Amino acid sequence: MNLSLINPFFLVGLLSIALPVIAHLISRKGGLKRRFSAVQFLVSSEVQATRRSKLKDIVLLALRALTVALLVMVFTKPALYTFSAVGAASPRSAAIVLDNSYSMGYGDNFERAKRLATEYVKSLPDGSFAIAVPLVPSGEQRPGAFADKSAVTGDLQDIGLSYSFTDNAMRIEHIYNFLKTAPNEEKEVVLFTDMQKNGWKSAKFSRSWFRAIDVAPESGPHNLAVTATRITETEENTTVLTKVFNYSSEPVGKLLITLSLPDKLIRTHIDVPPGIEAQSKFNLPPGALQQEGAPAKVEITNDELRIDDTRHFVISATKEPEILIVDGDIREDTRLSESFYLSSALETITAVAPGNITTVDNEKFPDVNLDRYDAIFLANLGSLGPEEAGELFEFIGSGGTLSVFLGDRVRSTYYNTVMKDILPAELGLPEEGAFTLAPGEPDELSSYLGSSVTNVDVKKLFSLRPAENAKVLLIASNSFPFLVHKKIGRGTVFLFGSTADIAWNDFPLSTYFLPTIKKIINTSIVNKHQGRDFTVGESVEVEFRGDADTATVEDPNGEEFKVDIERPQFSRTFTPGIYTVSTKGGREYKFAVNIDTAESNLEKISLDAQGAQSRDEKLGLVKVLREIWPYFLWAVLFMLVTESIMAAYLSYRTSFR
Amino acid sequence: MQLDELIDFNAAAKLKGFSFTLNAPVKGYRTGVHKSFLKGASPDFFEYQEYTPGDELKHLDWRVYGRLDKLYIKKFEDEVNLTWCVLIDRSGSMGYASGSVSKLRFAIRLSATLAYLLTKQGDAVALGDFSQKEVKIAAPKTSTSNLITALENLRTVRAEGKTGFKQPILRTLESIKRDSAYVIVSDFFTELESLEETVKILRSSRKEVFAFHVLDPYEISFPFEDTIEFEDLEDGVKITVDAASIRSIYKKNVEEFIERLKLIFQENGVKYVLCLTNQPIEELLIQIASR
Repeated sequence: MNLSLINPFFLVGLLSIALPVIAHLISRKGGLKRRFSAVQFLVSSEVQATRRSKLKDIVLLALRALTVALLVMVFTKPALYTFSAVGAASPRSAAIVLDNSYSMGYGDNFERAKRLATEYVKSLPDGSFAIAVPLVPSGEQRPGAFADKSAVTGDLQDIGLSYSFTDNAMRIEHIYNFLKTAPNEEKEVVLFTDMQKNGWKSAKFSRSWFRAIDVAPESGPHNLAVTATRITETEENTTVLTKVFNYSSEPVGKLLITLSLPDKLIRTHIDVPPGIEAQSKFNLPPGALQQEGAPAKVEITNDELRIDDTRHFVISATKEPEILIVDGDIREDTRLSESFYLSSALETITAVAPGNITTVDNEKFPDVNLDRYDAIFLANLGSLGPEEAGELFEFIGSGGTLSVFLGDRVRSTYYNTVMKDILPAELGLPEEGAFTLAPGEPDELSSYLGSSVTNVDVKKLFSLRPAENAKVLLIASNSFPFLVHKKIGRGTVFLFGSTADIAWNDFPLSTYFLPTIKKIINTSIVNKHQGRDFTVGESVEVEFRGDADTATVEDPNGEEFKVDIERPQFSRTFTPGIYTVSTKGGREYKFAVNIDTAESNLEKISLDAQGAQSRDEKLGLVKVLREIWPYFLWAVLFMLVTESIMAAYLSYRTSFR
Repeated sequence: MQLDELIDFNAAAKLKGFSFTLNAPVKGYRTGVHKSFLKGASPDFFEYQEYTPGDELKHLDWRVYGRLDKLYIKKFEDEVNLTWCVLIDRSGSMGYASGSVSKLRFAIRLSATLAYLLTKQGDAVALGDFSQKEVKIAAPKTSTSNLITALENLRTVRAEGKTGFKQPILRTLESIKRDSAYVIVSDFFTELESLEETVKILRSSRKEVFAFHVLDPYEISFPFEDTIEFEDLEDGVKITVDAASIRSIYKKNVEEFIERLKLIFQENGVKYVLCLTNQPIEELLIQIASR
């Protein structure tokens, strides 16, 4: 129940409270003056009388001021209002779904959502059943719906913000299925949400039993998030790269970024244009990060959504990547082999030690243990069994980087069948011609290569149909994608539409080949780092060191969980921060868990897509007003009578005492 | 000068047939309504006294001698005139007026009317005014013309100064040594201890004293409302009070004051008359008059 004023501008009238006060002050200060002969009889009784007089004055002044205030309130027409469900005349079973994805932590959205949801529950007609459900599942769900509104509102208050998000449509369908078992024919699922776009695959989720109520303020949210951190060590220096995304439409200047290392704090400022991911580098002396495995974090100045203003990481020195090249067409003259250009390029990369590059042919590939490699290049591989494809899939999922070059030994139908879950694009038939290249979708690599990549001549390339989540980085002039990439798990797959040698193109001879290979290696290094960097809700495979067969994982809140060697997956990564794994007799190690910053983009989904009404009315709710100004009018009359009685009584008391 | 401005002739007319006398005999030098200590001149027989050598022979009662064969002298009760000192308090507090007539003007009119009546009955009247440290009083005269001169002086009297009795009364006692009665017309807003001391001095000097206590009706009823800053007419003291709330206490204080005043006068044989400025003068004067 809230109080509203229908004519709030009449509140200006409250200034008239000053009138009785001014009148009082005038009467006291500049009142009557008389010359009198018997003042001596006044002096003795003045103290007592003045005290009584002051009491009388204060009482009457308070009554008069209150009367004026009440009279003003009458004109403002105060009214109590509640939100009531549209057409909520008949009993129903309702699932009150509270959006607890972390974007709801913006400002007081979450508290407002709880308040509105509570009002909604209270407005349900008698005989209704309801259940309070968090949008992002957490803990155990109540077994059924309740007729007791206080129990439901109590459950609502118990729902906490999560550090994650979910597939909203799927979750709501699931909740509705759960609701089907509840009494009452009429069922509805009501979501109290900030209408943030993330979590909605489609903007056109519309169900007759579903209502979404927007609780977020009208104004565009302003949010910044730390989206990534990466440590790079070279002979010259150690760099901690930090990426900050500005999700608002306003530029942010001189944003303070703080790097918290175990033994020092380093601060810097950057300007972040709107809609851009800005980078900031903390340059440290070489070997500055000696505390292997120590926790660290990067923070920016807090905004309304604080959870994404910090990113935790564990200091981990970069290991020189192990690289495998599988050459499907090894020639005696190595310069004619596909692997020649690849290994030549890899050897020039500082981060790659020459001894860490292994080249095998197609026949030996099945015998290779892929676990020890960080990046694998498949060049014109003609034969690939399902078993090898499965191993490659696991390799990628655990953070490996796979690059696939095609060629005359590749059969598209076979690839499409065996490597269906791996490749970022479906292969078509090769096409010959004289093509050039152009940058594809915006990306770090495509931006770096720029428009000058058009110098590359392509004579033959496969037709590629990119998968749903794939990104085309380079595109040929015949509109065939030349380079497509896709993330699978923690790993990445790059697919080139042509050969790694110069048989079909002169890309390996161009100045763009080396940066491209370097990008691929960097990606593998980054993925390797992610071995200690997880996302909220992600399952972590615990390493058992020494002879221990159990390990203890301590989360950032200090809560401890036992993990058995037979079930090494730890999935209770619900809180962002540093987790510590300790095994009996073994050395403890840490890993970092951070939020998925996809939720940091607070862009809203269109209300129309939800079949929504205007925000004032709230989706599915109407404002029910009950005017209470007549009570104030009665109060004014009562106060007038009271004032008269009090004035008479006080005068009587003072006169006849 | 219009005498009727000062003398209430209507009141005087209503008091025709009344006289103002004293209880104790007085020494006068002219015939009047008062009993005299000097016996013999009056035609009213008082007593017989045995003749002793030296008595005037004309006072011998020969008829008694013929019956008793003894010489007796006839003694007569002589009625002599009296000197009245009518003193009007002209202190600042006497200037208060709730209506058109201030206490001082009322006191002057009351005193003038009394003086007129006293003169009519053959007494000498000394009319004067006083404040704490000053007294102005004319020599006692029996003629109406002299009374008019005294009244002329009173016309210009202004209420100022503080109320005080001891000094003015002592000076009056020194200046008028005849057997006299004192009429004090005042609001008596002074220290009552000092007033009592003065009254005792007068009484010990065998003076008959009459006290006309003049008050404005507002000084009794205190009918003021609202918050008022009162300024004292004598010493300028200011006090701000809520009149309504202080009224009851004020009235109680005034009543106590009047009661104490009455007690002091009663104990010292002083005739006390409370006068409100809205009362008819004859109603007040008749309280000290007799037929």
